[in-house]
Amino acid sequence: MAFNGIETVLRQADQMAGTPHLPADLAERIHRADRRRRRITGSLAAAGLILAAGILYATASYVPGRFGSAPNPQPGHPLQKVGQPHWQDPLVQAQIDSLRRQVDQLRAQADLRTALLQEVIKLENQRQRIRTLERQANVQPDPLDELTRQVERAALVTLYQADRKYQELDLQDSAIADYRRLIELYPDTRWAQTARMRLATIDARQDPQTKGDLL
Amino acid sequence: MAASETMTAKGRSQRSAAEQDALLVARWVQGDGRVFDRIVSLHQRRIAQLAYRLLGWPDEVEDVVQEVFLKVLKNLPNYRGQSSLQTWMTVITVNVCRTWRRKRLLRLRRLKSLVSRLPEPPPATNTADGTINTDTFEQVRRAVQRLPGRYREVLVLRYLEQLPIAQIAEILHLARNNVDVRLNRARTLLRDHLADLIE
Repeated sequence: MAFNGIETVLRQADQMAGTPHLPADLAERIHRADRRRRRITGSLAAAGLILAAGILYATASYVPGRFGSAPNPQPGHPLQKVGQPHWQDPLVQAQIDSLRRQVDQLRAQADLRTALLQEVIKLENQRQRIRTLERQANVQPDPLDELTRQVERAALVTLYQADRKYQELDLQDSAIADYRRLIELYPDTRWAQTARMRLATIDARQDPQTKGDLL
Repeated sequence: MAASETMTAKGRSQRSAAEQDALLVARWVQGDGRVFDRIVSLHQRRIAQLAYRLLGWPDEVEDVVQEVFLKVLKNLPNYRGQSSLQTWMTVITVNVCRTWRRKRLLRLRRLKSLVSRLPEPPPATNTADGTINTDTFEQVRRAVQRLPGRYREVLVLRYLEQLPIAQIAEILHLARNNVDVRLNRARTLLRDHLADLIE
């Protein structure tokens, strides 16, 4: 016998299929599955974090050559046919050297700034101590001390700008002019002494014929 | 007259169900955790039936139903009430069934090389009173399962769930015209597969 439409066939089949079986404690099962899923997700996240931390630690503590150099393949060995390892390629080597030089320069700049920062922090701590003591003693600050502080601060700003011009902006002439102005305007400050040292360093790096012209 | 009374009663019951759902969601938002159990008990039969139909009457739908309610549990805090809870859960069921079917197809493809070709089903014969017998049911089930998901969804929602076209369009995120087009194509495909059963 044939049916007279798709709808009829589908409904008949649906009736014959009946209703699906469901457990009585479906809600409880869902809660259990949810708790299990949360536990698994948490464990996976923790494992991922631990793995990432391990990779970071291994990367940070890696020292080239620590585990020995790559074995040199014997003639006739399959590795011999591949050619030189890529780290022995002159181009790669040149890039590595260039990167090393850049890293050294950056490290020197960072050291310089760190030293300057430490001096500033030290000075600021001293001032803070003095201010505290003054407050404790209920003593008004000496105008002369205040003036000295202002001079020191101005000298420090000039030195910082000159350092920046020399290190980062490659404005050597302008930087030298700033160092000189600093020595001229604030000769008795510690920053003037630093500026003299900078000029001496620059002078030493320059051509021997012009040595001594800067100071 | 009787039909209009039936429609009115159905509309009233749907309205009260929607109000009850809104109340349950409000209690859930206020932090009443027991509400979820109530939602499960209210909707599990309908969701199971829908999944059963969408997947072509498989042997087991418990896992799918559980997955649907897990998604409901996870996403209930994000439910904004733009559609009724029933429609929202229907959308989730459709999506879970799609994923489940995709996974099953991938598994079957992997096993395809190991499993010999299944024997062709025997020719369908029906009982004299026009009801369907086991072989015919198997044939219909195979035909429905062979339909692409996008066509099977509209067939099930329209003919078995008896939803209006507008609601199907909302559930499947389609324009009404597209639902009509899919329904026509689904009918044509199914008629081709079941040519010996349909006049």
